[in-house]
Amino acid sequence: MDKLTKARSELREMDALAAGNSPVHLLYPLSKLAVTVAYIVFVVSYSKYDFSGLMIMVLYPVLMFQASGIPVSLCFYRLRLVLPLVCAVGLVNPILDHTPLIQLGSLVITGGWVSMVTLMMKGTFSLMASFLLIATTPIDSLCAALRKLYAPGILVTLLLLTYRYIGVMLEQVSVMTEAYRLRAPGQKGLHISAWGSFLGQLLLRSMDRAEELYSSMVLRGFRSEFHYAQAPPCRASAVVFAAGCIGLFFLARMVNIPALLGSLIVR
Amino acid sequence: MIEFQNVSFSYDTQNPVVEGLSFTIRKGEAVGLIGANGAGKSTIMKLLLGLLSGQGEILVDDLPVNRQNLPAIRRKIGYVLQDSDNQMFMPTVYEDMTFGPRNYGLSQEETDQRVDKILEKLGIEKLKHCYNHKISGGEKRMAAIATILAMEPEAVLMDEPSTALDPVNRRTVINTIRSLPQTKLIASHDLDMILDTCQRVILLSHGKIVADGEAEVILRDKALLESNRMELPFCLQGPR
Amino acid sequence: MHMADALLAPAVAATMYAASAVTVGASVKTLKKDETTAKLPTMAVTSALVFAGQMINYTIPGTGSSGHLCGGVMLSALLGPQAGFLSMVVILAIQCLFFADGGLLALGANCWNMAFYGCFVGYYLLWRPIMTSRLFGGLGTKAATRIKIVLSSVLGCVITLQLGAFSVVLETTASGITELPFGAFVGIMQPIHLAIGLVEGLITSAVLVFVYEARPELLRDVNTAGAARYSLKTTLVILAVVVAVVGGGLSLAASGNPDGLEWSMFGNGESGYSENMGLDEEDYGISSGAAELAGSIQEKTAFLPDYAFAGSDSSLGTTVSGLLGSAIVAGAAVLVCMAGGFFRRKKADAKA
Repeated sequence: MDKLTKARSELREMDALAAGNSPVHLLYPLSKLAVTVAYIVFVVSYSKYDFSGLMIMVLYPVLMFQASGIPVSLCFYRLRLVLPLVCAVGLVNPILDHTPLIQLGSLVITGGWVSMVTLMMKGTFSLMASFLLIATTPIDSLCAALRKLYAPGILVTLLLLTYRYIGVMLEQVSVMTEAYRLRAPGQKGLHISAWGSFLGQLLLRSMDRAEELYSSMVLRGFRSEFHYAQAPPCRASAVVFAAGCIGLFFLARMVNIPALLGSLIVR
Repeated sequence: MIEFQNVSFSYDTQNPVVEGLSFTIRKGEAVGLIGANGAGKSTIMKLLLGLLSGQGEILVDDLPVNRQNLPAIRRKIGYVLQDSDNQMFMPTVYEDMTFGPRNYGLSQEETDQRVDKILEKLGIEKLKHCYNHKISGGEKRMAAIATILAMEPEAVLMDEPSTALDPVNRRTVINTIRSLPQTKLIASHDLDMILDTCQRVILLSHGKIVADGEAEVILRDKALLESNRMELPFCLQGPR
Repeated sequence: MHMADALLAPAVAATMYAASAVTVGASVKTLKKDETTAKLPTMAVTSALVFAGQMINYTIPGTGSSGHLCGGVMLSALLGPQAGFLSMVVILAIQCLFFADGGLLALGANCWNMAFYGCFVGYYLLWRPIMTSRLFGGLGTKAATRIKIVLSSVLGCVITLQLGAFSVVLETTASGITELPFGAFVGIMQPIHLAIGLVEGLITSAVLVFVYEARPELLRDVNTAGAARYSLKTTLVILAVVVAVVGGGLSLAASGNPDGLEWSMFGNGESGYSENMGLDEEDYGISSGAAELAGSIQEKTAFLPDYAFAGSDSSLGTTVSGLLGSAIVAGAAVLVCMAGGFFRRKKADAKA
């Protein structure tokens, strides 16, 4: 059951990454969010055969990763969760779609292969962009940015509090799991006889914790409003960055730049 | 400053948790609340803060503890919980420290000044922007105390403040408690800490006050302590 | 069942975001302010626990495989549907943002597929009517409640996972992402999620029965004498209608295999595609009302991915010069990475 250990270390890793001070880290959170969302929308909007048009979009995450000092390899490890479904969906394409698209000498590449590769590229690029956002923006800045976007206060507060307690809960589950494993050698997971009591006990204890937590909040004057950390002031550079990036994405989407580059060589 | 007049509380009619409690704590006093598990120490603190309500009267600076007066009373009394994780619920220490003052209407600037002053006093400036889920148990306990002090309370209640701390952290917490000028009520099993920090001790057993007097006297009374499921503080037990 | 961004077209993603946002807004509004304030710590701590609990392996006896907890039904049984939904949204957001489990653009769809069905359908159609009914009354209150908990948990999880999986298929198909025929896609997704739903339901019921034995006041609609808004009869009628409609729709898709093939072969509005196949839409395949409807839907939805960018010429995407240009760009990207690494090493050496 080392999913728990992995989860805890991944959380710690994200925390450590977000604590950097590269130019990307210091960017205004709201403009980073806007650029990330715009990037993903543009990437996803490419048609399924537009392989080369899509390729130019790799430059945004690559440049940002280098500017932020975050290793790209960390991001690729995270792909393991979401790519399987993308692959499963995409793998069918070469089987069903036999449209000949490109002829390179005697080799004919069908539409199915192209659309499969394009799908995987889309999956990878969009994941790189959202990983970059979170790896360079601490949770409290993100919440402050979300509040600026008028996201419901209760939801943002819940996000903040839940994030705070995930570490505590992972620790508790981890400790209980270890204790269980030491008394149940040879078992890989939770035996059916313990299904209810294992999580049930934790749930009851969590309810007690929640009560204490509520007391703690109320005793410090809490009524309904959470005052969030101040986001850094919005400078003109943030607007320029966002507008510039989104403009470039739009240009890249409208004009197939790689094809233009290629056509300069191939006459 | 704090007065209990014949206070009782029970969850059901058969088993009272605390019964007939009467005592007064003067301003500036440091009082240790001791007793076996289930004696009623935490219940007293919750009754004082209005988290539970029972029979009898509790007065804080002559204000009765009732629904109307709760906001005013809770402004005066800070409560350091046993489990610091339940106290430090914001992402960072700084945000936790500003939580209380901001709720009570202080401006960002005033709050920031208070935060810096207290961090400096406790010598934990380095914790200011640390994530609560990443700091150690001892650091969390110190941060929790800082969080309560940021509200500038007149009295501080502490529930087992030295639990699960290594000797150095424990000593730091003890020294910090000793330096606080506020009225203090400290519930603990750590009798050595109580001896170090409190002039007066209230001994509870099965929800009733069994002894109330000088810490130096009660904590040296072996028979009294042992008849109430306790022992002498380690420093008074003599060589093995 | 977490969907990646790549599986959705912007228009579909936006629609699902809108649907989820409306549900969030309605939930926030329904929960009275003081109720929410008091519930916030419970919601947060329970969400965090469900998140951690999803990583526990529940060994299924006799199979050697394991199941996992989802949490939608459990959360709504503990917190109510609105609070449960908000909690699930937060869990999904954290999974998406911090663990790359699900895409940012697909978050709206994931919230709908996994949170909406579990918390609302599971609660209003199953949990509450079953728990407040007089089923199994002859066995005594405690025994009857235990059985009702198991029944509503299992049914709740099975049905919500079926709905969720079906929604994934609909959303992916509407986005024109896959060549996989609708019928085949459904045929793969539904049975897998039936098995998953059963196991999840059993896990959920085990936990809820435990909670009932220890602290029944934590569970909603247990030991309440009030009448449910929807009676069990209404639930059964609604379920029967849904099954008939979905089942009918599925059989149209699955049995008319040429319909499925038509969908993938003719329905795509890509320029030059149907001509390439050399097939004439009018003369090929079974012409049926359903096929025509399916074809027109697919045409419209396949049109959507390019709708916002009607001016772009996608045929350039796969020419030889396009490939060459792509290779140049890829090379440039590698150079950037190498340069970045070089400058970082230099910085590290200078510091040392």
